Amino acid sequence: MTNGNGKSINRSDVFIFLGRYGTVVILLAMIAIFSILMPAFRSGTNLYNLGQQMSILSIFAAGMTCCLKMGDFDLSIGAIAAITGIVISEMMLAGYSIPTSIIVGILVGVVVGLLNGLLVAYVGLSAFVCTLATMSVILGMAMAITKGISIWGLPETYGIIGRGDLAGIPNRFILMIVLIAILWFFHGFTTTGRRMEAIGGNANAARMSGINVEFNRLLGYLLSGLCSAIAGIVLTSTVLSASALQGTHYLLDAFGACFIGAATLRIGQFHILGTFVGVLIVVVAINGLLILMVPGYYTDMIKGIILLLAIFFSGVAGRFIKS
Amino acid sequence: MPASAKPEAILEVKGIIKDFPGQRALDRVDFDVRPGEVHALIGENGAGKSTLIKIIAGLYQADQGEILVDGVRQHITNPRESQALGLAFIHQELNIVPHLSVAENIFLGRYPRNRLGLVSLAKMVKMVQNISDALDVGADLRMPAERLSVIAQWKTIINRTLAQNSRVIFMDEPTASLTYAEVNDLFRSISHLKETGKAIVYISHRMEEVFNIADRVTVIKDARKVGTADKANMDLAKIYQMMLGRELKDTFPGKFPPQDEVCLEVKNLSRAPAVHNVSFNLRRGEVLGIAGIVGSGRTELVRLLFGADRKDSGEIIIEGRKVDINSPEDAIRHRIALVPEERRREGIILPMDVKQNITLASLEKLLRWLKLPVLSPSKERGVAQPFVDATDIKSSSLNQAVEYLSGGNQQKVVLSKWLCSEAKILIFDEPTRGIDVGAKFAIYDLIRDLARNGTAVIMISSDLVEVVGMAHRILVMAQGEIKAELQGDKTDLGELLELCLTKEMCAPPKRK
Repeated sequence: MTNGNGKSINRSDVFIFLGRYGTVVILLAMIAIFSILMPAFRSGTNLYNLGQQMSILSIFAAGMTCCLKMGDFDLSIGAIAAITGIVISEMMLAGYSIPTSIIVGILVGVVVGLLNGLLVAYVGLSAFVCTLATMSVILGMAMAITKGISIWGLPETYGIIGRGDLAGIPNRFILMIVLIAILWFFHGFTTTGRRMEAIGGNANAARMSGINVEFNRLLGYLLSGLCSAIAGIVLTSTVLSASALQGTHYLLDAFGACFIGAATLRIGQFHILGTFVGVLIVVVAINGLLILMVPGYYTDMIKGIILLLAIFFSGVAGRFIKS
Repeated sequence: MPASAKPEAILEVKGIIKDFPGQRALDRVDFDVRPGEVHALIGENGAGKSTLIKIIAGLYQADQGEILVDGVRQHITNPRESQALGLAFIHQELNIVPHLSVAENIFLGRYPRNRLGLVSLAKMVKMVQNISDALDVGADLRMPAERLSVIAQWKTIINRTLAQNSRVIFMDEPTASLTYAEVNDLFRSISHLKETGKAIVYISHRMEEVFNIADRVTVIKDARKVGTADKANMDLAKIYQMMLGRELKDTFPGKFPPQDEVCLEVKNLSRAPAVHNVSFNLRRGEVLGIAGIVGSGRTELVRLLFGADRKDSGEIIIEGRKVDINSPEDAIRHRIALVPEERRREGIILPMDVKQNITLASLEKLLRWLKLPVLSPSKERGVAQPFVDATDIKSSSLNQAVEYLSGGNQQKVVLSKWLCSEAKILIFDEPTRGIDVGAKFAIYDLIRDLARNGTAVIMISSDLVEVVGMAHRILVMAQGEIKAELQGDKTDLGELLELCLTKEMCAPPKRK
């Protein structure tokens, strides 16, 4: 290990390790530093808050990962969440049962996902233009339904999803864990997940291996729509109100989490576990800054910087390992 | 100096020796070029062609030997000197300045000036017309060169060499980025240059072009010149033998007779504009070669069979039943497989590992429980491993990403994917392109074994030797049609080459 050759191997090993586990190291370091410096960070209340805060973002980001995995993306996730919440709220206020309302709400999200998928995968529109347009259409509809005013007075029972807990663990945290586990299993261990991964690796070769590329991309948008709808339910159920702008600010955070995920373990690839690490980093960072009394208006700036860094590192580290 | 009856050589190199650390790049190489001839320089990659060119250009210095221009010994120590002696070198990556006009590109760095001492585009355009025998670029000379087609860029560069009064023009793989029609255009330009007494040194590995255009051929192998042949004495088999260093019949594994059962019938298959009314049969255990130049419609034909493109009309009949193939998915269901030419683009998923690539077209074999679509990692390994063994893929493990494998091993992964899917009709498009020699012969052996075990094989190749060596039957394609059918054993290489060329390369391109 003393010759130059050995050294260079060692150094590249260090880079590869940092490339793969760098984000995890950063996450652990943040948690350690915050815990030591700020007793408030490690308090039970704050941990409970963290669990709550990360749930909605995780659900959004997990759905987004299904699209990003195949080189697509979905800008309409926040809008889908908003319209889902509004439809469910209006239905419940109109006297429909909670389960019926929820099912219809989820269907709305899935239908928007289906529309996105048809337009992007089958018609061939660019994902950016298409989902930007559907986002605008849906937000417009949401505005039209609510006349721009928040809907209040949702039944307390509906709040169980977002506010209740089970043995001290928030229900929505449990919901998130279940959803993440299902998607993790889906992507890693099912034939469809494998096909999606192949499409992400090389859509041409996937097609030439008999994979129905269009259908799988459509499925990605369906999953993104479904997850966004579920996130919308958790959102409205938490605050017991619905509004057209409710989910929109999650878009940037979800992108950030996914790109941090792509800089984790499997460099340059989007995957559920990586996304989960990304969510943790975003949430812990924001939470720590709040406790540090950093003014709220800095957080957007910091989130943007995190996103840029993540994109940079997922690309650069990937290139380094390939060379 | 000995007087000779033959036309005097413009350029002659004698006994060139060049050593690189640890290896001799050129060993006593002689080479000469006469006015008004096209002299092809051929040899496999690494044979020493480019070292020789670089020495003549003045980029390298020879350790021994001499260079004579017009019979006078010259020391060429840099490219400026070779240019002054009338030697010009055109590389594959054309040295065009994109935003400068065509005329400026022609006079690059030697701009004519007007009375005020300023560079004048008008004067330059006029001067292009004064270059004797200049080629017609076919575009406004004031236009930025980036808007020219590749062939027009070629002509621009050739005109530049003429403006520099070059007499010997070296062209390195000139047709690599040209379309078929452009190749014809370039060949006409070369003929024109010949008539005006210029000498062309044509470096290529495309044998059909060399035979079409060259007056003499020099073969270099393993740093040595193997020989030079005139047009009159050019024998394709002999030249291949010079290049490969062994007899053709020793190169390929023996053939086994195909079975009688016809497994694929193609009737009047068409897709405009590339494929017209193609019909043929394929038997089990048969290797059917498809020969033809690039652009003859051979790749397009097999893409129709594989469902990668949709046919306009025609029928595909598999084992007596008419089938509908509208996607690769359909083709795979009917046990048709395609090992594509563009391996990295269409054959493999680079970030996925060896076992995932091999099992990609047969995921149903990996199910853990009954028909539930859940993969079993242990079954995945169990299914993939035999194919790694059978095709002898050299990788550190089943979990290695295929992007780290060599071209030959990647090709074996693609082949394994189709073996795993139990393909009965296996189509290879340029199976050995970009693969090292060892892997090449391994692929030949694999194809032979597959055929012996009853798989029907279609093999497209630009390498005519490979087609003749491997195929039981050979279809010759040109302009989207099958022009001839030959028996592999009775095919003479020269005859096959003629068939590939006659219709297309010599006739002016057909406009649609």
